[in-house]
Amino acid sequence: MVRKGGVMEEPKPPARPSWVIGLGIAIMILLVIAVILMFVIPGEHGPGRHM
Amino acid sequence: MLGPRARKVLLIVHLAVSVGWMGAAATYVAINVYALAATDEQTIRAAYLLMPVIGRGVLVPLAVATVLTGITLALGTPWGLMRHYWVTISLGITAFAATILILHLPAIDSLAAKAGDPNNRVSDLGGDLLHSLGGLIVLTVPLVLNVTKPRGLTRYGWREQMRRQQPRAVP
Repeated sequence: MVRKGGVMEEPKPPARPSWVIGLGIAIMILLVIAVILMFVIPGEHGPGRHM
Repeated sequence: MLGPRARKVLLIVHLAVSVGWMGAAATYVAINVYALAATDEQTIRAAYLLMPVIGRGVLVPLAVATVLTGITLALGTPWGLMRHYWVTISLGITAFAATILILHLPAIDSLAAKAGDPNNRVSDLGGDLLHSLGGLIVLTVPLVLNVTKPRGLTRYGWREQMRRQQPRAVP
């Protein structure tokens, strides 16, 4: 509990750092690209897998 | 908690195996470039046959050692495993890369088996460059995080910090 303007308040957790959000977005974009490439490029994962 | 000497030894081992993993991944990329760019059939076959050797003999042991030493270091020091974003994200990415590597081993074996068959045309195999290059890029993220150690406590880390500070605040 912290005293704020005469009222006792529960302290709030700090906001998520901007670099975490940026890295999260970058990882999501890379994952989407990787999944698309897996299906576009024929091979072990792609359309040629069961041929 | 680890003692200062044990912590230092474990840190040296962790650095050695994790940087070694990146070096082995770079070697794997080079072999893949060789497999795709070489014109001599024997060279291409040799490159494909080397892939599972590096995968099972070097990449996987170094990847597993990196994850295990990383977890031990985090748990044995005040950094903790879930207290700081950079530790948690670094562990998550490292564990993800190691898992993908282990799951990808059968595909590497299959490529080598096809290359080993003299009836197959090695120029049609397609290599494994995308996986290896992707892995190498992914591994640079924990490297940057571990060196820069960017600020940011997780909710758990913040609660732990508050809990440790509370007894001192109350008279």
